[in-house]
Amino acid sequence: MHSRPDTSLLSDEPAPLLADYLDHLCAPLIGVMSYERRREISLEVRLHLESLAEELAEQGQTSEAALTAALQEFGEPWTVGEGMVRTLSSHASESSARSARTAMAHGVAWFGLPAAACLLLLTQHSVDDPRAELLPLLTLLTLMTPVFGGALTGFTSPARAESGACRALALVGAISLGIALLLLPSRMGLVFLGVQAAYWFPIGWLAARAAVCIRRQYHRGCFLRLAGRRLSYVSLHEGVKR
Amino acid sequence: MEEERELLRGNTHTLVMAVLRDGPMHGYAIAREINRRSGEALRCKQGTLYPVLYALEEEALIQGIWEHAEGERPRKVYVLTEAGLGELAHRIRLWKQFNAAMEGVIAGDNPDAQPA
Repeated sequence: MHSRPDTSLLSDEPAPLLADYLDHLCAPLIGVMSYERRREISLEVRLHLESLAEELAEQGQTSEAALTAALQEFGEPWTVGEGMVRTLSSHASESSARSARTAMAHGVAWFGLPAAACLLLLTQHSVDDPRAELLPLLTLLTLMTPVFGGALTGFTSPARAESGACRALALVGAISLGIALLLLPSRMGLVFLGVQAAYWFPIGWLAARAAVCIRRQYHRGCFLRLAGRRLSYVSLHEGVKR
Repeated sequence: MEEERELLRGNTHTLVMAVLRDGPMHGYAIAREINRRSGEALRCKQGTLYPVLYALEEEALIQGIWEHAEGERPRKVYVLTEAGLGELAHRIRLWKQFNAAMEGVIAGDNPDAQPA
């Protein structure tokens, strides 16, 4: 039992009519699912159609007529392919909603923890009795939180990272407002919220976006290197055949 | 014919799971078994079976496994999972309720045409 087919057990190529049918069936799937998955589907459908054609041939039809009848029985290839796309798209929308929730959860963690630390430091630092030793740490936290929070959100959950970071910041801001109103002098609380709105929001969004772009570039580089290897293999193979 | 296909479309998931309850099968065998059990009444384009199989696989109600028997071509067989068994029981219950309700409405007040 295997999760992937072993195509080495197939010694022959499909008949030209069948190969054309499979190409049409898999065409709507390009860009929706991976090459490996398309290949697996193509193989599964091929085996189904060959079995059906063999059964029809046993009933007295010629092999060409049996294959044509099998293709008719299976249905118009484009319609079948689009049916598969529709199936996968509905799952893709569920997956997208799940990604948005994950990105927000990560954002809440990456922004919430430093925000909580900032609030804790602010409660120690009163206007009447300023504690100078806390100021560098407070400044550093305030400046670096959106940079690191956004970048970590982008790296840990790249799908919907920017919206996840913004929604997380909105939640963290609302919670901070509540805590600031309870624990801090109103002026200090308002300054902290102002910093969150004017600095954390745009920088957090930009950092998340930059992290996603860097991650995509990295994966694109990996893909191009892999594609380059495949291309050289195809050229070599073609050369040998000629 | 088109009306029959419409009726079938909404219930193909149940038919596939019901067939797989009796043991693992590949796509071609599932299509044949549905035809056989329904006395060729539920005949649809066999290609419509695969989107259903992939949807059920995505929902983890069935599991597809490639089989490589000695000297034979590879085959992807589908197995009903525990979750699939529960889902099938739920769908059968719903279908029976729906069927009874339909029978009741169709029979109307005529005592001779009451559902069994």
